[in-house]
Amino acid sequence: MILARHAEALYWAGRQLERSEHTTRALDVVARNTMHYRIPRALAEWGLLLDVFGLTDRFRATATTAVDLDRTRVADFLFADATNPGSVVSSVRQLRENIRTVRDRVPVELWEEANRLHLDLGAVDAAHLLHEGPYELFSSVRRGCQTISGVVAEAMPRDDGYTFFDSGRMIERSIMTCRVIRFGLFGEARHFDHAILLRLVSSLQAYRRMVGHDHDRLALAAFLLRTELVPRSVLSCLRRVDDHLETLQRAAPGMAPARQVCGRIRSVLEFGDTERSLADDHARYLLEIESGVLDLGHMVASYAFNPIHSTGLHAQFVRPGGSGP
Amino acid sequence: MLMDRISYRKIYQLGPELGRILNHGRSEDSAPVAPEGYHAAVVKGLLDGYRPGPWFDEAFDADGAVRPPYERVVERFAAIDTDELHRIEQLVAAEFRRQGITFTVYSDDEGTERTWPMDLFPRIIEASEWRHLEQGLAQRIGALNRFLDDLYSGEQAALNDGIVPRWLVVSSQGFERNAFGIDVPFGARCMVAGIDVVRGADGSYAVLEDNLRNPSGISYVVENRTAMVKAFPRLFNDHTVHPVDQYGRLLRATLTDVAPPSASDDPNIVILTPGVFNSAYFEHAFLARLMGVELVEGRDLVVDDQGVYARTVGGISSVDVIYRRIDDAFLDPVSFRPDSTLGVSGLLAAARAGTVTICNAIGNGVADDKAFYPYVPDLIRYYMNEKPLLPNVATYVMWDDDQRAQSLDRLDELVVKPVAESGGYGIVIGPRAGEQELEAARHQIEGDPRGWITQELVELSSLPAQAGTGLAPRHLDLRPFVLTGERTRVFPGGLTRVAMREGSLIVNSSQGGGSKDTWVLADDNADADTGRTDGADPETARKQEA
Repeated sequence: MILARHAEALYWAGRQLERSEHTTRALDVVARNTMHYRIPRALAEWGLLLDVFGLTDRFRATATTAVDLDRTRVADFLFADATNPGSVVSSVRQLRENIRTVRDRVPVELWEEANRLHLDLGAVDAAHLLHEGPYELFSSVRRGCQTISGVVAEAMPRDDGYTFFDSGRMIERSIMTCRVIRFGLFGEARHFDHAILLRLVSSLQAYRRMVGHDHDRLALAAFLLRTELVPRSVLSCLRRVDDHLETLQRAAPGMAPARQVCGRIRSVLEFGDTERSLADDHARYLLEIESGVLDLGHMVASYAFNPIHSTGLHAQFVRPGGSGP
Repeated sequence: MLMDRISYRKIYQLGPELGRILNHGRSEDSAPVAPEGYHAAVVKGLLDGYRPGPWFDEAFDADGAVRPPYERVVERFAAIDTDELHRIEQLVAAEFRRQGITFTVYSDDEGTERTWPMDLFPRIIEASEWRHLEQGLAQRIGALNRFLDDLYSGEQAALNDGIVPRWLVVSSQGFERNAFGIDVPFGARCMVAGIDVVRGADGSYAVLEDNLRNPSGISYVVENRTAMVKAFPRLFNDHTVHPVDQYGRLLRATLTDVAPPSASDDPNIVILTPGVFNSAYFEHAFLARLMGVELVEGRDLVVDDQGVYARTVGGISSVDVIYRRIDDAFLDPVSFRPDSTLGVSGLLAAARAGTVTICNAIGNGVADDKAFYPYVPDLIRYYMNEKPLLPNVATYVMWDDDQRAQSLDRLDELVVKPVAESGGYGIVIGPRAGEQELEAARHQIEGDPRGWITQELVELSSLPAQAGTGLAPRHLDLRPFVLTGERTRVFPGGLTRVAMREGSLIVNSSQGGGSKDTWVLADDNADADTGRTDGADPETARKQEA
């Protein structure tokens, strides 16, 4: 079985890959959209994006005055700010560092592509490009992320390492989809245009084909939560995680609690009446799903990566060099 | 005057271009004529004006003629210009950067990772020359392993018979009392050795240093080859070069050999690394990938009831062989440095119980102490009953009053080395040192005679290396790697390190040195040894290997 430390590095690498791609795509979509708006509305959209990422407070903390919320600053904060651990540059750096710690056990191409993406980002003046040619920059980063996904899909053996990497990706992705729905669709003050929202989770085309042009808010939310065929829906992400956990559980019985959590949210989505629950109390329902997914991430992390759960291990060995029981 | 020593035939051999330059003042007509049918190597372009100094140059002889193994390479380099060379150079550097082939310089402000420097002009070792080296190295490692095993697990015959002074051994920083009672299968205490070899003024090989603890560099040997094949594919068709990519298989076989008797036929092998911030992390990850084993840190391992286990997501799983790339002092906080977080508590107890093999064994440092080095030829005679095939460089021990007095008299001619340092740190090269530096060295030697040795200066051999717009002679050494399990195998070639500054004799990469791809040529009419079993029945191949 995979080393706990390696599993952890791969799990986070998966999350960081997903985060990098998602953030870049979101910036791309919002930047293209807001160029049609006057400043107040544009700023509101950028503010909404910060809410989706849960970075509003952090951004405010870096701003010196109230008027500091402008599009360049938000884009810079979300993309190039190395002090923001959620920025694209930071995510890519952490992704590369995590892959580096497991470079002996992943396909060579995976390490090379992660390294290349990191080096490419380091070689350009991102802050300047965000101003002058953001779309080229965004598409190159997205291409880099997609290349990594492609290498993982085609070259990575379906072993425990893959299981953790993909679980990380799927958990990050479902958290992002949850947040896009909760803030972008049911936001307190305002919400994204529905087409924009679907673009944020790269599901616009699928929605048009499967549902059409009818943008009912509840139907849209249900679509993103529980459509099995859409790879960014919460349910399809959780199904993948569940499959992985099932495989893992055979050799690692400690994964059982995580699987229980996963099964619980799955059944809510799969067997519950999503539209009705949303209509009754969307805030409570969406929060329940989102915190369930967050719980799942927490369970995977604490049971798989924490040696205290290893069977038959003396407490004194839990921390190397520790002072004993 | 170079001209005086050059015969006409040799001038032609250098090529008409250089011939004309050397013939300065003479007319075109008086230029030498090549004997009929004579095939000349053409030296121009990048090698124009290449002038080796009064030492041994491996590509050109004292008269300036190309040595036969280098003819094709010289021809190839003569055919490209500076721009082309820079283009290839940049290609190789970009490839290394993309693949993250780096090493770490701790004191470097620029950031910790630096791209591996490789010089494009390869080093070539002919088959007969290599055979000599191979035998000499195997003999030397054989004797050192016998000595170490006898010291820690045997009767200490060499000490009892006065071949090496006992006080010298027990006063060594590398001497490790904890190693007593930990037996190693086949006595293979030094399972992976890196022996630094140099060529003196007459071109003969001598051993400069033994590295018996954690020699690094093998990953760069393999990566240099990969880069060279990309940069100069045609050159490899012109030569039959022994490949280097079978190292992982060899190392794994060696580690399997030394697994404890309790392990299965397919023992669980791990590499123990200090972590991503270590200067050789790239190599640790590289070896784990090459062998297909886990790369663990101390915190991934745990000792329970005298067994070593790895912490996996499914609980703990047992470990049989640890190829550790951390120093003795950090291995086990119970037995060594209590503040070490890199090691594993109780590891030594497990090794002593024989449930796990630690490679290289603990306490090898005693035999790569530089004050111990002068005794190695005697040990070869003592343990192997053979004449040493590879000599030492003349070395003087400073604890001996006579040798010290003589050395101090002519310190400006000698090289002064601290006995326990590596990586080129602390070395004073007499002829190139200032008065103050020599005075400081003298002071240090007198204060701690056991801590220093002096050696005769070896003007290391040279090869063309990139310098500015062309190629110029630069000094180099060679670190071949020797693997010992049930038997000893010398890996073909090794790491050629080259000083990139004019006249410098310090080749360590931590001191700005570069490296070269090193080719060991196959015998005439023989294929290179790929270690592969192309088409052969795997069962037969396995038997042959066994």
